[in-house]
Amino acid sequence: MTTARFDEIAAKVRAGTRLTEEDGLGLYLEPDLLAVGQLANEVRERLHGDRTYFNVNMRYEATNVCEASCRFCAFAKLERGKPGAHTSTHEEAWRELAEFPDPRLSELHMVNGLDPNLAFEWYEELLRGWKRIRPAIHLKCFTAVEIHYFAQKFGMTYAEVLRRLMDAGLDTMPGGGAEILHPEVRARISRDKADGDAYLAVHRAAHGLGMKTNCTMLYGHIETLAHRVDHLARLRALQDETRGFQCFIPLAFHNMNNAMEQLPEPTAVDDLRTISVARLMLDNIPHVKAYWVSMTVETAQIALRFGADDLDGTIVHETIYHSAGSTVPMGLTRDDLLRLIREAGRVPVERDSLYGVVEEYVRAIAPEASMKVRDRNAKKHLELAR
Amino acid sequence: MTPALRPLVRRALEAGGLLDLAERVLAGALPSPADLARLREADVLAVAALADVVREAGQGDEVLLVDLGLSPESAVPGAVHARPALGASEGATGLDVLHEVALVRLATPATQPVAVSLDGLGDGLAQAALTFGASVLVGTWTRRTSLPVAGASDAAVLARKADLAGRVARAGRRPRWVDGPSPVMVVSEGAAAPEEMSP
Repeated sequence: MTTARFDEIAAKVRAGTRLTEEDGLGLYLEPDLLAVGQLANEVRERLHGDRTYFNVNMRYEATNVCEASCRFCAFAKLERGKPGAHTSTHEEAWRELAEFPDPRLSELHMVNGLDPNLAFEWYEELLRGWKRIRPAIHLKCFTAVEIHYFAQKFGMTYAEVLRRLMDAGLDTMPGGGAEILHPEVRARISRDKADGDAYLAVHRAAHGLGMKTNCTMLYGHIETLAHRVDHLARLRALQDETRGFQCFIPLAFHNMNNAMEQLPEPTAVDDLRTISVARLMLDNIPHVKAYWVSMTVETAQIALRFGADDLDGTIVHETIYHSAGSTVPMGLTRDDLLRLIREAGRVPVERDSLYGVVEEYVRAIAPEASMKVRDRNAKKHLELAR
Repeated sequence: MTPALRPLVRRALEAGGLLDLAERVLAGALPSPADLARLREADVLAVAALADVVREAGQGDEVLLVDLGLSPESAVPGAVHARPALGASEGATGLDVLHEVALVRLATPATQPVAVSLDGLGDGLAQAALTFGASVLVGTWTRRTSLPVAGASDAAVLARKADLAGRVARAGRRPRWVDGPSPVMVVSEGAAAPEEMSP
């Protein structure tokens, strides 16, 4: 892309003019990553200043038994009884929450396989049990793919499925299952589950019921850059219609233990650029998250200067990415998150699941002490080999 | 010829009150300790953008890949290595390291390359460092014992080299392999040494 063309896009961003898909593709192809990052950072700071969000949450996967055969997935075990297949009992699932050590836990995030053996009422009772244990816990559960599966299997509309789950305690939906919405890609990587239109239709139904949701994109496998931009444009179009998405979360493809092991994984510069392009294209979605499990702790922190304003949360026990080779920690502490955000020059804000402020922390420790820490760090990580 | 700043970079530097400093650096002057202290406190992307201009002017788009397994003597005097004490709980964070890379780039004459350690930083952070001023990746991907015959290699080494070449290319750079004793000199003394950067 020429400098003049980039400057034209930058002028549109500053004027608040919507970027076209051609602009988005141009940003992906712009050789100067820092320039794209700076532009995205301008938007991020215009929207949120230095505020950077995180929450105290836990992940739970009740079952990894799954009827779908997505080629990128290392988590699902297709049938019960296969090595590694696991379906929790209600008691096991409830105990996880009851014994969670941090009293500030605000969110339980659950994603599952499409288990043909479980009744719909099983899920309803699971949610009800969690709410009995901690009535204030926010339940962010079931991807659009799961909701679509329930609707088909149990003969209900999306709205009916969602209403029953909301009655049982469901508060919001996560954004998983979007993969790449374009049918050319989706047909090749996940042909036997909800298609792109169904993914959007489920979120439309949820938004219609007043529920907030998130949205994602699994990138860095067989898709082209044009597919990624198309994906962002589809999400943006739905958001124009419903205003129900809170946050966009790019998810980097991992290549272990799945049917696409031959593909290279996206690299750190891909991760950062995708964060930036998303921030610039998704002018109507308030938050862009650097999900540290997906892109590593280090890259997620860097992404806070490339357009991201959210680091996700403590998580505690994630298995989907770890099944696919992720080597990041299983969880982070609140202090870890505070430190990462502060060291990025940002102000940590502990949030609830709807971006309400639980606590806004001070920017950093006292400037003099901060300087000492920085000097110590400089000595730590700069070594003059003689 | 003095390298030019893109409008976006100029704007970021101006916003940070660094334009005068940047123009001196681009004219070939090395930043003083006081300048470095300012740069350390400045917006990391603005500093990185300046470092990247210096890198491009002095080193072009080529990235040297130095194999310490093949030639341990490539660990040349003055090389900057980032230690692997990265993580959430202790040691430097990723942004700390990248900020330091950019400062070292600015504190070093443009004609001399700045290296980062793949083994120390990990592939992701080392690749990101290429956009923050680094132009050499130092690492270990070949063992001497795996090379009984000149030019022979094993599949793992070839795969690793292909992976590294891909990472360099995806950072928008061209890889050049340094398979013998390296002429690379990486200087950081005198400018970016921590004690001189304290305010």
